[in-house]
Amino acid sequence: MSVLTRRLVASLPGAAVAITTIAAGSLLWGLGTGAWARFSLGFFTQAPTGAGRTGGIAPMLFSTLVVVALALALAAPVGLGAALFLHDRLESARGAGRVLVRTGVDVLGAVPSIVFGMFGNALFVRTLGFGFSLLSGSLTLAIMIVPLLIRVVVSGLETTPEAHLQAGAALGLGRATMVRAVLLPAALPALVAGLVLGTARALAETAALLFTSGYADRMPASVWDSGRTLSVHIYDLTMNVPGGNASAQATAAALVLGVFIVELLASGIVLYISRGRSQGEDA
Amino acid sequence: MTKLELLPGGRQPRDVVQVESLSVNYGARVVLDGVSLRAARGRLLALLGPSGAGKSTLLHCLNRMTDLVPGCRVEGTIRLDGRDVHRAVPVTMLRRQVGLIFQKPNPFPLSIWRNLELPLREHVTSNRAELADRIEDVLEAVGLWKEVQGRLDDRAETLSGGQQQRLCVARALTLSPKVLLLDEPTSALDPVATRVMEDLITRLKSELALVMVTHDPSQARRLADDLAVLVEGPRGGGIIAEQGPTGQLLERPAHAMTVAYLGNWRSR
Repeated sequence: MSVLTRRLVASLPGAAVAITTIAAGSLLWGLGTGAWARFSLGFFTQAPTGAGRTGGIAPMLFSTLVVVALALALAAPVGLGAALFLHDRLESARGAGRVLVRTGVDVLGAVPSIVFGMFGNALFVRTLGFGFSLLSGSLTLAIMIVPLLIRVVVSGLETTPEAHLQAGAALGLGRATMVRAVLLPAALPALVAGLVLGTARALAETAALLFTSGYADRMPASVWDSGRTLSVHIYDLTMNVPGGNASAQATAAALVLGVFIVELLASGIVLYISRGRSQGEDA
Repeated sequence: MTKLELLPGGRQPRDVVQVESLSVNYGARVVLDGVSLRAARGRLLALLGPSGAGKSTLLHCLNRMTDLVPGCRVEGTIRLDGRDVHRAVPVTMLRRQVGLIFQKPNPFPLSIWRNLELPLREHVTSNRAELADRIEDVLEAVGLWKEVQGRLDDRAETLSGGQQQRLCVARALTLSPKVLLLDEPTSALDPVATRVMEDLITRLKSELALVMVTHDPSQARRLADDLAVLVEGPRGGGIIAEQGPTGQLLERPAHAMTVAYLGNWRSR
């Protein structure tokens, strides 16, 4: 390998970081500069006017918070329970069974969101009669997030030291005690990470929500009401509202800001948990 | 020992554990081949022998931890106080009565208090005062109370290796076991922690039946009343080459395989 080739290879990782940083920076700069003029207290507290060209995004902000919070509240216990169950079964499952279950979860996680939207529309909106509502949207998002949560939490559970499981067995501790005292604390960082990824996916979701929670831009009165999330609002302003690009850009900036805040909070939680553990291990 | 009463009730039969013709297979591989031995209350039986002779497997059979090993088949009889542990004793009850200490300390990633509280709440009591009394008793019994009484809420991993191992002994003692199994309990400890642990084992001997795996004949001489030497048998599984009182067996081994195994140590 020549000196030039070696230098090129050595500089590749740095170049990759630089390209990624420039791309992300340009995106944020573009959004930020476009949105800055629209950002005001009123933008976050008022309802939209002129089909969204003017006014604020308060109903969308509220709908987004409700849909995402409800979806996470529904998905977290189901995902955690399923992960614990699968972790147990995967432990004892032989090769083919293990691969089958993992592949099933992975495939479910990779299904395009519009397919989940069609499913949610058929099941929640029409069959169960929930109509276009925040509840239909939340349930559909929850189903989308569950495979992701399962995969991340199972990976977290697999890091539980065998020594802890053996110690529990040697003491005759029941499954419930082991789950509560040993497995759940071990899986907590993974659960938080899974919830962050789930939140990001839910915040960014458009297709599935168009078919389930609808796009009424008024403030919803309850979870049975139709509501428009931020991502659906961006889609509508860009595709259906002439002259709506400026508002779309400002809404997109608000959405990115929301994702950033969620990431920051979650990183703080994970750091707090990890620091507690490493302090224990270091001593 | 302190005020801790490890064995409430009357006197136990002398032989607490009786193993008859025990054979263990992992799939097609023979690990133990027709092993018989007894462990008595108030005595320590050391299992000595080369790696792969099945010492740890034998130990883990005594509280049925081998049930957790896929493909493990156990034949023969193990009795605890005369009751067949595979037929007459529920496995949870068995593990309460037969504690196990592993090679490496394995406290749960919880506080010192929670490590001791978990087995108590599961099997004994959830009364706060009783929990506190019992936890103090077991920590006194293993010589940890003075070292940790002001920091019971600290995580168990903040203790030194030797302290963690004694915490694991205390955790097993919370359930008032009749038998304590020790799987090379000092192999991961430094010399000072090893000496403290050996002192603890000596103290526990008066209250319990102890069975300990060790690679170290010197440690067996220091601690054990009885010795069983396991070696690889003709079918590849571990057999007991010889067993008897420790001093006699180490000084005057009768079996050629014992002589061969102890040869290096005796020539030191």
